[in-house]
Amino acid sequence: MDHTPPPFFNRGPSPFVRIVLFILFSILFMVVDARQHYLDVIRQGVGVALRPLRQLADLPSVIAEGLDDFFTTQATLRRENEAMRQARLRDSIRLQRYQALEAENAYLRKLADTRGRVDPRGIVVEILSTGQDPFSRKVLVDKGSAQKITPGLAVVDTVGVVGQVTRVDMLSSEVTLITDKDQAVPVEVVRNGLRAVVFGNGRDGTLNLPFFSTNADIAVGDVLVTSGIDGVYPAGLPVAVVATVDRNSGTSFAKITCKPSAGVHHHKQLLVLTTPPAPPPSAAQAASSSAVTAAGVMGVPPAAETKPAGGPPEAKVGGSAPAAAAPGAIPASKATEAKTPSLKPTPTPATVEKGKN
Amino acid sequence: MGRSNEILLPVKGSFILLSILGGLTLNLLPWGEVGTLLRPDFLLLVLVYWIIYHPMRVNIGIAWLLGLVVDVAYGNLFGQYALAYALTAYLALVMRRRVLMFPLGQQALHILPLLLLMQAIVMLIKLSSGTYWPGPAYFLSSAVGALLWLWLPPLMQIPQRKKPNTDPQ
Repeated sequence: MDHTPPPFFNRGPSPFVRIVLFILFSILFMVVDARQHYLDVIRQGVGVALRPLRQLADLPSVIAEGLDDFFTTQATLRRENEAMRQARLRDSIRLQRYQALEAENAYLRKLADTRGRVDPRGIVVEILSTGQDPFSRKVLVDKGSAQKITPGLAVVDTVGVVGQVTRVDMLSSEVTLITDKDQAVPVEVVRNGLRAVVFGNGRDGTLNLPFFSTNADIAVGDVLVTSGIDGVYPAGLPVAVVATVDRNSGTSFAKITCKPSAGVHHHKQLLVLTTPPAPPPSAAQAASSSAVTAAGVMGVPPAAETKPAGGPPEAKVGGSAPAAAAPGAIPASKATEAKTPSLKPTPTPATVEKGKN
Repeated sequence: MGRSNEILLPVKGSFILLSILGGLTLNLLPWGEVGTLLRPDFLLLVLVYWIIYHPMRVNIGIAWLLGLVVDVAYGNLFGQYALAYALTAYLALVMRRRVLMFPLGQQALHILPLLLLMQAIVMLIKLSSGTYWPGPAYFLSSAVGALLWLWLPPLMQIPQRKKPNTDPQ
């Protein structure tokens, strides 16, 4: 049969052939996208093209927010102002103490011959949209590779760790929250220095702390901070608070759920930390780094309830705190005293820090 | 439903494009926690409408491409929504002649399994890459989508209606 339809009846391949073709294309795309990075160009391009649509979609909430701002009463503003002034006073006191501690710490570190900590710097970003996908916990923020944001950077808010930058377009980037399914953050219990890795649960915005034996020393209300050993999150940022501990003797591990400290629901601004944290401390430095963790980096309140009675050597170091602005003033004899505790096991340097508070 | 005894103007390509962009924008709207579960897939609804009513203008290939765009918008692995959209478009194409015989209410009952299938495909792909089971509430969005179908075709046909004859003879 050499019959062919006239051109105006020609409709191309049949729907079945097309769908088979497109299914194959889809699978190919999925495999390639999962393994290689060839398709990132398309992703970037489409992402930029989608930007105006996104802005359009965000318009209603922007307008609603604007109206809300406009109709804020004076009383609310005054109250907020008052609260902020008090918070500023508290923070400035803490900051003054922190500066003194930092200077002293730098000096002690130099003596202990450890690497100085890098001061984390950050880029303030604003959340453009929270997830449209019910399966994942990600937010889109308004700065991208044009502002030198790269994948892998840690993202924090005023309270603690929010997540990690996972994908960067030119003008926006995607932050995966720590509550996303299987997003892992290495943490440390502030109270006793236990190290662990906390995982996101995905569904309900909680975290879980697996692989703790049923008799592990962990209690409801324990604060978890980043341990810094992953090289992604700087040490000492609050991550979560233990919410429930279920010790079922039938299983070998306790079931521990935690509530994240930070939350994208509270704020519109986040901070992307651009300075990579110091490399993981070696075994000799581990003791001194845990002392730093206890003091906290970004204004983490130290666990004051475990304040020890300062022994004589600690008292001497503590006495030098006001003079720490000029570290060179500390005589060499004290320097050796300061050096010795940092080589002892973990608890001792912690008491050094506490003694100064 | 007097659809059959009403003569509609030919559809404009620009209106098809506009409706697709509109559907995409609605998909990008921030909806919050509960809203995300209830939110129907507007873009898919618009696509299914065009495929059922004007199969010569919008085809499986366009559905597949828009699926890719949605994948980018949601930050997914490439191809998940593309696969789901293309399959839904194919099934809509297969059953369009039957769907057109029914009034809107019964059309919506035909649309419901299509939307459910699309969600199921996306969920299966996600589950195979290790996501959690989102719970039965996840499928509510299809039900909302099917409900919206009751108003969608009349709405989309507004630009095709003839203007009342104002010609003073």
